[in-house]
Parts: sequence; structure tokens; C-alpha cells
Amino acid sequence: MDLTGEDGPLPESLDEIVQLIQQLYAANQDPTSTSRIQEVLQQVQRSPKGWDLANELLRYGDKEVQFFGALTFTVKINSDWEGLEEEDQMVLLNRLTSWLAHLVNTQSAPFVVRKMCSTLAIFFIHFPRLWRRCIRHLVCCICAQPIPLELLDQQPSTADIIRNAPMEKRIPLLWFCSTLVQEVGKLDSKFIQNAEVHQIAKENTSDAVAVISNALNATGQDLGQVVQENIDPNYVCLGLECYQAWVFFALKSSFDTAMEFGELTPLTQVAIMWLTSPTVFETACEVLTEILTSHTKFLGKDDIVTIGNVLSSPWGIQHFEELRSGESDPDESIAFGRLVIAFAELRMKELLRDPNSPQSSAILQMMHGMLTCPGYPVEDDPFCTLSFEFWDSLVEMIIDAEYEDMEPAVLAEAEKHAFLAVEEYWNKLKIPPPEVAAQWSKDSCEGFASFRKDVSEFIESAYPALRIEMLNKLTRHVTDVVGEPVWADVEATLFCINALGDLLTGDPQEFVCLASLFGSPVFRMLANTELNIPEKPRMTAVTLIGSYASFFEQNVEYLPTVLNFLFTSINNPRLARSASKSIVGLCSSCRTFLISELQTFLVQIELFSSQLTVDTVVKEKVLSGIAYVIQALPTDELRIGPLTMILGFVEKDIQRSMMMLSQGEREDAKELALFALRCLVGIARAMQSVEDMTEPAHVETNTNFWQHGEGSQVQQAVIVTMQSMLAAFEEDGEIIDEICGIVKAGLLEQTPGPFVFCSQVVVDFVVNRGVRSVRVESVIGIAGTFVCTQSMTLQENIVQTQRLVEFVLAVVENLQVPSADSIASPAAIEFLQLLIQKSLYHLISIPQSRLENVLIFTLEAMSCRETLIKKSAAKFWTQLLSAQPQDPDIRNALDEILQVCGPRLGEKLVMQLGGGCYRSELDMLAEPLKKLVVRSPSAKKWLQDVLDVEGVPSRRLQPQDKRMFLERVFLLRGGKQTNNLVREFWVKARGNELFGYTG
Amino acid sequence: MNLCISRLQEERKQWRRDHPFGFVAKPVKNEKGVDIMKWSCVVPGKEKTAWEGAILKVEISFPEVSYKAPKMCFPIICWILLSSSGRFVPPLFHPNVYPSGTICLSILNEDEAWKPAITVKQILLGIQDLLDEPNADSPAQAEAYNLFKRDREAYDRRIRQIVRDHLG
Repeated sequence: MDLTGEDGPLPESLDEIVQLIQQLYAANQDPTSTSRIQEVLQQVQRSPKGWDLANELLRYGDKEVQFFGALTFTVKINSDWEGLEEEDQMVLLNRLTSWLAHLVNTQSAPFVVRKMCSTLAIFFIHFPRLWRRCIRHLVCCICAQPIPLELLDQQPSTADIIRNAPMEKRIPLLWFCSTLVQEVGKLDSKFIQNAEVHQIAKENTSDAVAVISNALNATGQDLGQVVQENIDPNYVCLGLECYQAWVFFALKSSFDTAMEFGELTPLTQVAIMWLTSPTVFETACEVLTEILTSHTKFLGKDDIVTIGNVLSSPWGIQHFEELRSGESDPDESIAFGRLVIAFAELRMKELLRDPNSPQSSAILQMMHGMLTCPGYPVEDDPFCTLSFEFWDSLVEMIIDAEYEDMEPAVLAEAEKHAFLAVEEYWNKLKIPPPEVAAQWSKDSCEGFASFRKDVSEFIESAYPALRIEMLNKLTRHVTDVVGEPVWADVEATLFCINALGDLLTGDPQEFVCLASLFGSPVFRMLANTELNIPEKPRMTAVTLIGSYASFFEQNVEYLPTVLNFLFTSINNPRLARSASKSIVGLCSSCRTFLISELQTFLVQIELFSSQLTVDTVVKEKVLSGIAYVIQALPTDELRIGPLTMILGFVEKDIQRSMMMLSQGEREDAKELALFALRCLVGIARAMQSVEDMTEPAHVETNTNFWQHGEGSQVQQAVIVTMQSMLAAFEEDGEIIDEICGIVKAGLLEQTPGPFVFCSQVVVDFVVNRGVRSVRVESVIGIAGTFVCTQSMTLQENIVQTQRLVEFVLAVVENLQVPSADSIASPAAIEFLQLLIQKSLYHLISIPQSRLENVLIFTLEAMSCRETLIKKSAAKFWTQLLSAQPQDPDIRNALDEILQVCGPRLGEKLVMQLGGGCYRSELDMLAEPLKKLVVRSPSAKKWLQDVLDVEGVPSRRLQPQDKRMFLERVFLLRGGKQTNNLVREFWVKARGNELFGYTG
Repeated sequence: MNLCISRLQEERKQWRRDHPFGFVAKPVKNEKGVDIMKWSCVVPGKEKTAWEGAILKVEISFPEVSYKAPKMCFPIICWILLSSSGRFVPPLFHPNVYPSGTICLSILNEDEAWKPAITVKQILLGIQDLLDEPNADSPAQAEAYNLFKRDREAYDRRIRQIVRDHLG
């Protein structure tokens, strides 16, 4: 059949449909034709002929076709159930049950029978009242004969009927019982119609218990005995799973009512007994683990005692030994391990309260036993990963114990076991010898790495519980070493201590531990790169130094050793990145102390840079690291030499980049240029003085060392570099962005420096980019930083600011409307806002017609769809409305602006706050409103004029709502409560009360 | 017990039992023990994206709200802080992270896809998805949004650089 057409005719004959179904399930179908076939078949299923089709398909011998028939019934019930009259419903039920009976009798494929069971469960969900006693009815229909629902009571008991039925008829009953509660469980019982489905399903519990008991071979009174001989393990396992499904359902559907599990309860003891059956063991473990962890409330006290007794019985201990030795089936071992962990976690306090009882000591020993199995985690041993759950809970219990009433003896016992676990995990995280690791798959390697990460998380969690004793114990693995260290042990220790970097409390005892560690012969050996030591412990040591930067900052005597170690490490590709990170951090925070080491560092970087291939990330970091130390030198004269040297390394890259460009390798050339410029940004930032910036810079141009004096050559070289890059890469956006970074670093500097350029250089850079620059927003950003940081008392700065204002006006005029560019518009408006803040004079001085344009631009921005534009406009108006200039001329000019713009501003605010904006924009738009109400006596009229229009801002708002809003907004006089008022107003205007409560 | 606390304890349990690879989520510890209302989390960047190798620190605070609903339906209302190199200032370079470090995630936004039964796992997976698939319709910071809109290639390059320098 041709399926190429998009909306071709649907297949007419049954044969055609069958053919399609067979194609659908045939192997090696290409995905497009599969989805096309699926589409066609779905249309056929949903068509009015669907019911008949389902019947016809089930008559076929082909199992895929039968499956599709059952599926078609499901689809039809789900889509057409509302249209079925009660009579039709009954006919449908009879048809479905007889199909199921037929499929069972003719021993159809299990997946077909299962599908039919699930179709029946779906039927139940839609027609629960019609099929109240669904399980009993199905038991009769399948195991005896089809009977009308009203005769159900006259039949023998459900248990008796099942007992006399052959096995092939009993298994489908379990399938149905499980599917039924799984499907019903998916319905949220909060809704009334669903609550009824839950309730009627629950009425079937006793019949379900009869089905499950038969499977679990429970006999005798109270189901107390289990016969484990001559069983079909598959049947028992299905029974256990069905039991679990019903437990889950019982809990779920009784959330809001009292817990009643009556009839299901006795089955738990039966399920526990199945643990000891070798063929059913794994499933029994899984089912009980699930109940222990997720459905604890279902378990009675007796059940928990029984599980504990079984686990600690000779049978349990024997099983555990097999698990540890790795002799038993891995899946079974894991299932058993999980069961022990789930039990131990649930009974944690009880186990610790009575640690010497045979049961407690057996279980606790098992918990430690799981951390000491032979082999490496993940690759050979799954148990240490599984056990985290228990040990994490244990340390949390210790931490909480301080604030809860816990007996000291229990606490002491808990600490004892946690200590032991830390030691056991320490032992487990040791890295394998390279020849072992080489045999591992990628998954094993990743799994082992992830295990180590989990251990470090555990160590971190355990520290507040075990405190200094733990740190002490760990460091001793390194400090107590006599003779040649075992490097895997050392690495494991450093790895654990690394996890504690952020947690130290400043306790003097911690200092003693760390001092003994970093001063130890073993650590000195690691730092001595001339010694032949495995790489991994060195890598961990480098990371450790990074994590303990604050220790070294406070104990500078350790710094030279550590930094020289880091600097030599940059020559080892595997250590370099992590070493360079630590270098930047330490050089930044301990710059003054490191001055004496500067020469050594310069030698190291020279060595490093002379290598054939250089890791650019490392170079960038190390250069900024050294720049921090240069910044700490006492005079500018002393800075020139080393600074020239490190800039020389950058210059070399610039030259190489230019050469590549001339050879047509533009991509590579740009990458290198970007990297070189990033180095300059890093150096420029590092050269900023340490003091916080409080006052704008007062740069005396004539006495400026770097602009005109001895340092001017350095600065000129930087400027030339920037200009040549802009020219060479033809105003490339990324190049502009990096240069903005350099210029910005200089602008933020408060004392003269190599990157602090004169105003004209900065402003030239901005205006020369042009209003259509690819990164106009970055350039305007620099203009804003200029306005914010430069003193407006200097005539030169006033003149240069004027040029910047001109530039931004030109950008605005070029854009015409804010929506023209969602990026440039907010940048321009933000500049204007900074101008109000720093030099209102410059804004007021804009010629009237141009000023009007700009103000209209900012007002229009208020109703733009893009949040960022709106936000910048809201900030602009907030700023303008709060400005209180001293100069009467400026004040008058400002009042005039407000008189002109006020009505329009009022309109924009009412429209936005009255449902027009997003909820998340309310707070920022409330700000200008708050300022407006206190700023101008005409404000009330402006707002009222808008609100008086019928249906504005929303038809949902009644005149009294609007009146109330207006009155209250002025009563609050711009106070914080305005935000709540505005939110209520918005909610009312939007007409959705649901949004209210999170506010 | 407070509904909010019991819901979060349940979350904690579920998380311990099963959580996605590379993620961390746990309540913080303060001077009064474990504070279940504030979680410190780690979200890894997705493989084969510009965020690969990133380790993001995330802080989730759950305010105490009284809301009557069945236990598992108790809504998780939270504030999330996404950190840049372990600190929240400067904000993470991402179009949907506010300058304060808080995050704008559609599954948390009650105007959009938020629903009461959302779990910590879904939140964190949602953050991981958001990293590489920013929502250009709700920008929270100009810097990252601008570059994202202007030049995807340069944006990706910047992300890789940030991941390498600060988030690895």
C-alpha cells in the first residue's frame, strides 16, 4: 500500500490493515515509514469502525495482530467512553472478558494476554460502578465460566475457584490485579470522580488477596504457612510483585483517610518467608526493600522484627558471606545488600541503642562488611556505593543529635561507627595501579571517579559530626609516614582533606593539623618536582593547595615552597591548569609577600613560554598571577621592568597573530589575537590597586607617570596593540568586546596606572566605533562606565562626556524606536540613566527637540515586549523622578520635562501594571510609580485620566476597583506596601486569583 | 510536622535513593544542625554542549508557606541562586540568570509550566537543560542575553571559556 501521500485515503480492507500492522512490527523498518504507518493506523483505530476492527484483529492467529486488536480496544475506550450507553458498556465488558478467556484458553502469547488485562483495567477506570467486583468476576470468567454479574454471589469462594484452576489461568489473574491498581493509582484521588474509582478498586482487596495468596502458596489459617515445595518460581514472583503493587496502592489511596490495610497485612509475613527460597529470593528481596524504604507505614512491628530475625539468622549471615566473597550471583547479591541497607537505615537508632544484641551486631557488621569487600568499587564491588545512603543518614543523625534528645550512649556508638566508615571509605578510594586501571572500561573509570566524588561528599558531610578528630586521623596517614611513603595512601588522604577546604572553622587545632601536613617531609617530597613520584598524588596536591588558599594566606611562611611547586607544575600538562588556577588565587591574595619571589616566577614563565606548544589558558592565568605581584611593588619605576617583560610575551602572540592573518589564516589568527587580548585584560585587572574604589579618580594629567612620563612607552604600546587589532580584524565583535574589557579595567582604576588611559583615548575608542557598530551595546557600556567613574570637576571630562552624549543620541536617533534593537536600546537608555545620576546637567543641556525624541524613546520603551528594554526604561524614570538637583535652573528644566511627559508616563504605568506586564516585571515597574506619586502634584490627575476610561486597563476592573487603587496608591506615598497593592491590582486585572498566594 | 518540612524530608530521601549522575543536592548544615529549608546543590553541565565539564553550585531556599494540600502535592516554592565560581557575585553568565544570581526557570514560573508536585530532581534537571537551551523570551541579564542574541558562536566560545576558567 502506498503511504507516501500526506493525507492519502485510509486503508479500507482488513487485509490492508493487517499488512500495515505486520509492517509496523517487522524488524529493520526505517523510522519515517514507521511513524507514517503509525499515524495511519491510529486514524483507523479512532474511526467509527474501530470497535469492529478490534474484534476482527483479535480473531487473527498472528500475535502482533492480536496485540494490536487489544490495543485498539484500549484506544477506543479512552476516546469514546463517554458516548457509550449502559447497555453498550455491558456488551463491551462481556466481549472483553470473553476475549481474555479465549486468549487464555488458546494459550496466546503472554504479551497479548497482558495487553488484554490492561485493556480491562482501563475499562474499570471508566466504568467502575458497572464492574464493582471486577477481580471476582474475572476469576469466574477465566477459571470457570462466563457468568452474569448478578450471579457472582452464587459461585464458590474466589480462593476455591482459583485453587482448582490450572496454572495458565492463574497467571493472567495476577497480571490483571497488578495492572488494575497500577492504573488506578495513576489517578489523583483528590478529585471526586477519581476518589470513587479508588474506593471501588479497594472493595476488591479481599479478592486480590485470594489471588495473591494462591500465588504465594500461603495456606492454613491466617495464611500462616508457606509451602515452598513444587512451586513455579515465576508464579510466586508475580505474586510478590502483585502484593507490592497492592501495598503501594493501599498506601496511596488512604492518604487522606485512616490507614486500613487489614486484609493485606498477613501477606507481609508470607512475603518475608519467601526470602529463604533460592529461586524466589531476588524478587522477595526487591519487594521487601521497596516496602522498607518507601512504604514503611505499611509494616507492622512484627513484620520489622521478622525481617531483622531473618537477616541476622544463620541463613542471613551465610548469605552475606557469599555476597562478600563475590561467589553468588551479582544481581542477587545486590538485591540482598539493598535489603540489609534499607533495614539498617530504618532501624538505625534501635541498632545503635542496643549494639551488642546478636541482631544489631550482625547487621552493623554487615554494614561495615559492605565497605570492606575485596576489589575496587564499581569495577568489582557495588556495595560501597550502595551504602552511602545509610552512612549519610548516620552522620546526619549525629549532627541533629545535638539539638534533639538523644541518649549519649547512642551518640557515642554512632560516632564510633561513622569514624570506622570514614576509615573504610578512605581505604576504598585509593587509586588502582595503572596496569589495573588500564583494564577497566570507560564506564568503570567514570564510575570509580564518581564513587570518589561521593566519598568526598560523605567526608564533607561527616566533618561537622566528627570534627577535628577526623581531620587529625586523616592527616596522620601522611604525617606519621616513616620511610618511603605508599603514594596511593597519601593521595587518598590528600583527596579526603581536600573535601574539607570550605568547612574549616578556624579552630586552632585545625591549624595544627594542617601545619603538620603542609610542613611534613611527605608534602615536601611532593613539592620537589625533581623527585620521581607518581603523577596522581601530585595532581591531588595541586588541587589541595587551591582548596586551602586561605590557610596559606594566613601562614605565608609555607608560600614559597608551595608557589615554586605550582610554578614548576605548569610545565606538566596534566598539572598545569589546576596549578595555574591556584597561582592566580594565591598571587592575588598574598602579592606583597611574594615580591621576593618575583624574579623566580619570571624565570619560570620564560621557560614555560619557550615551549613549542603552550596551553593558552595556563599562560593567561600565570601572566595575571605575576601581574598581581608586580602591582604590589612599591613604586611605578620598579613596575616598568617586569611589566614590560610580561607584556612582551603577549606582544609576541600579537605578532604571530598578525603574521597568520597576512597568510590568510583568519580563524586561527583571530583565536590567537583574542587570547592575547584576554591576557591583557587579565593583566590590566591584576594591576588595579587593592583599595576599594570610593571616590572618582583625580588623575592629574601633567604628573601622570604612565601617560606622559617614564611609563608612557608601556601604555602607548598597549594602545597601539588595541588599535592595530581593531583595524586588522575589521571591527570584529569579539575583538571589540575584549578591548572593552581592557578599557574598562583602566576606567575602574582609581590611581594612575599602565592601563589608565587619558579621557580622550577612551572616548575616541567609543565614538570611532560608530552608531552601527556590531557591539554598540558594549561600547555604550564603556561610555556608561566613563560617566560613572570619571570626575566631572575636570573640564576635559565634561567636554569628553559631551562627545559621549552626542554618540548615544546618534545611536537613539538611528534606532528611531526602542523595539528596533532589543540590545542596543536598553544599553542606550541605561547610559541616559547613569547620566541623570552622575551629570544631570549633560541631559538637561540636550537641545529641546532632540531631548523630546529621547524622552519619547524611553516612554515607548516602557511598553515594549522585551523585558530588558522595559526594565531599563523603568530604571530611567525612577532615576529621573527621584533626582533632586540643587541648581534652580536644572530643577526648573526637570519640572518642565515632567509636565510634558507626565500624562504619557501615567498611561504607560497604568497599562503595564493593570495586567499588561508579566508578573515578574511588577516590582520593577512599581518603582517609577512609587516615585511618581510623591514627585508631582499632578500625578493623581495623570493616573486618574487613564483610569477613568471605561475598560482601561482591563475589562475585569470595575470603576470601584480602579478608584480604590488610585486612593490607596496615594495613601501609601511610595511606601513598600505599594508593591502588594500593585500585585493585587494586576491579579484582578488579569482575572486569575491563583497567582496570588506565592506573593 | 510542618507540611513543608515533611515534603522536603521526603524529597531528601528520594534523592538519596536515586539521583542523576554528577548532581548533588543536600540540605545545608548550620549551627542548629541540618537546615532542611535550604539546600546546597551541584548541577553538572551536559556532555557535548558548551557547558560540558562545568560544575555549577546552586542554592535552593524553600520559604515556609502555609498551604493546605496532601503531602506529596505540597508545592515546592523556592528561590534558586546559581553561582559563578562558587560566589553569587558576579552573576553566572547566562541569559536567564538575574544579576542577583537568582534564576528564571519556566518550570518554576507559575505563569508557565509550574505545578505543585515538582521535585528537587526536576528542578535541577531543569536547570541543567536551561544551561544549554536558554529561554530567549525571558532575559534576566543583559550581558549574556546580548551576546546570545548577537553572535551565537561568540556566545558559545565565551561559555566554554567561563566553564574552563571558573566552573571546571
